[in-house]
Amino acid sequence: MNPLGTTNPTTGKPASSADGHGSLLRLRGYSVHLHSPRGIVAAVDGVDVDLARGRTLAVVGESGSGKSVLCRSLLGLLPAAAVAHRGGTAHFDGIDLAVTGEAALRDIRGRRIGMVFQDPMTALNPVLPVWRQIALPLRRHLRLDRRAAKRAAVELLDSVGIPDPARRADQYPVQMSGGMRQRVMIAIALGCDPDLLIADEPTTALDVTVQAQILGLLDRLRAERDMAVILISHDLGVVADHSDDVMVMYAGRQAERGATRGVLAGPRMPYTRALLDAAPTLHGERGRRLAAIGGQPPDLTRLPDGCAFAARCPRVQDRCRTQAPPLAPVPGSAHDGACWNPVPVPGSADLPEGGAPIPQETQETSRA
Amino acid sequence: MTTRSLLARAGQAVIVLVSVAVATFALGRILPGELATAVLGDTATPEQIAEFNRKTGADQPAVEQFRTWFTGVLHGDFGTSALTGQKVSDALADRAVPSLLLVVFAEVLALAVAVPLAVWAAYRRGKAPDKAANAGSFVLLATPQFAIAVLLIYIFAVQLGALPATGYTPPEQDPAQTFRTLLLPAVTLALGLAAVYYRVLRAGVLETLQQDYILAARAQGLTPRQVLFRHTLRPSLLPLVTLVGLNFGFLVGGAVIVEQLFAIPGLGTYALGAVQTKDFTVLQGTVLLIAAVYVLVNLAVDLLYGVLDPRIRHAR
Ligand SMILES: Nc1ncnc2c1ncn2[C@@H]1O[C@H](COP(=O)(O)OP(=O)(O)OP(=O)(O)O)[C@@H](O)[C@H]1O
Ligand SMILES: [Mg+2]
Repeated sequence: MNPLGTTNPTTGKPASSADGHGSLLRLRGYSVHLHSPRGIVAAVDGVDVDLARGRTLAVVGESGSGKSVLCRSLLGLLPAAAVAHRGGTAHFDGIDLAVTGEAALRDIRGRRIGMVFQDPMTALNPVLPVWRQIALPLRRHLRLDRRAAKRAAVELLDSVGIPDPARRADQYPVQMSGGMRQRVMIAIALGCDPDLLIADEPTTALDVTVQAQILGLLDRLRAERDMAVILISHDLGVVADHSDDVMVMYAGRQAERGATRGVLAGPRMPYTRALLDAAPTLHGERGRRLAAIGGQPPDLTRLPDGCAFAARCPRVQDRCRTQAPPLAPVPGSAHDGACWNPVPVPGSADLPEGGAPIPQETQETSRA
Repeated sequence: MTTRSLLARAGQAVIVLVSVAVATFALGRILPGELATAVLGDTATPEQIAEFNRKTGADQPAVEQFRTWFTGVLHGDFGTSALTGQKVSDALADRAVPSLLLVVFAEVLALAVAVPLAVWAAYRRGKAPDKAANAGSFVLLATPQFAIAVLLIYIFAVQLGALPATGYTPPEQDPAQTFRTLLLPAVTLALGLAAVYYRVLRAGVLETLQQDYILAARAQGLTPRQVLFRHTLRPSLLPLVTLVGLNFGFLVGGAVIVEQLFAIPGLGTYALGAVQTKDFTVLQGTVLLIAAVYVLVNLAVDLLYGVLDPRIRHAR
């Protein structure tokens, strides 16, 4: 029996692993390798994403697992000199981002894909009144004149829940609290009514009550505008409450992914398990870094042949050290994992320990 | 900036000016040699000297002399040059005009060149234009001012005959000619200033470009021009503003080489002459005026800081 109960009843598949038709963002084997002083870093390695409008994909993983690089690379925000190699494909609404030039990318950034950054203290310009920071992209993309842009800025401030928006519009970031600044960042990102919003740890720098407000705001705006959202987070509590699907990244690779409730209720990859164990309780203290996993994240310049997590994995086997496990449906679950020796599903002791991922058909049969 | 801190700054300015007045006055008494012998010549009899000192007030106690002079200054009277008989306030008014015009002109030229170049070079860091501009600024910094002046005179006055080599026409006579006479000296000063301004601003822009809000601005799809001139320039300007202010104050009285080479009757030349002839009344007045310019420019710089950076304005 399936203890997860989160899969789509008609297809039996998690929404994220649909074959990509109708999805707004579609990545296949997407890789980004960067130059670093110590050699080439495989910051993102073979990532697949399917994200439809109106849905939220959470991306979780330890610090340095490649979450930010993934998003920045999609938008062409990495310094050109730093990129050693890009692989795989990335399509946004049918547009092949890999062959899109900088000028055309600029028309997508801010216009069709909005981005919210982690720290609203540093991501807003301290010397410009907030309305001007909201207005600049409006003037550039929507060709609004100064007056119309200011009016739109005040309306946007209102729509992200800032009281007395006309007065606040003329203020500088230094005159606002952290939560209010993050609302301003969101107003900027939403100005041109984007199809996709990327929020790179939007609440890590905020205190708990403000976090909840901001995440609630993002949920409301996503529903109102039928936006797709990529929500990067360290916080599994946030992920649990505010995403449809989740992708767990480890060392630039996808470790496990699927419907959020399924993955969090029955993690199969030992790394995901460890992340969950490291979080105090799902709904307890928020905003903590995922620190409590033993061992160090691997050196991305010298990734092992086998599974990148092998050195820290409690369930490691010989095979893990020589052969990297592919991402495949995990027997007994509704989601995909990259593991030779997945954590047993709670309550089903009959799973073959150390069994190879079973091909999809087998899984379908076994669950039928 | 708050009213309170403005008042505090004004109070400081007054203290600075009074201190400068006392110091220059004291300096005049310390310098070797006497005005009387300078004016009357070495052959003057003791009676002549005593008579001269009585007429100029030099026989009074120093404190009394200072009081007389400073009271005059407060009423706009800087005294009279014992050497030339000219009223110092009149001379200063005449001399200040070419000095101020020259410095404003030079600063404007320097900024007009340095600001766009620095922003562009920082944006294209490490590329050919950046390298060329860096090399150019080094050459300018290493070239002595008189060499630049002589070169400019040779090219534009001697060879092309396009501009006067030396001299100055006051604006009330012929403003166009004023512009022409000040152009070469202003360029001479500006080249040296631009080299420094370029380097300081380029460093500031490079630092600003590392900030998160620049990445955010790029993520908003803004054009490089918008990112550079709307988001980057202003936060990068603070060190430059300080430097422009300091140079302004310095050059009003310190552009002696350029004033001399181009025969411009400015404050620097006036002060230098006063030192050489021990004309203390003139010296005191000139130094006080230059100090006042410094103080005013500094006040303006502080105000500009608040305009450029709201964090300063809104800090408690
Ligand atoms: N511009 C760059 N040049 C070279 N290497 C980079 C660059 N940016 C990031 N990296 C490297 O890429 C790897 C992934 O970094 P990334 O910032 O994506 O991690 P992250 O998952 O976002 O971590 P965090 O949770 O700390 O934000 C790291 O090893 C980092 O050092
Ligand atoms: Mg990050």
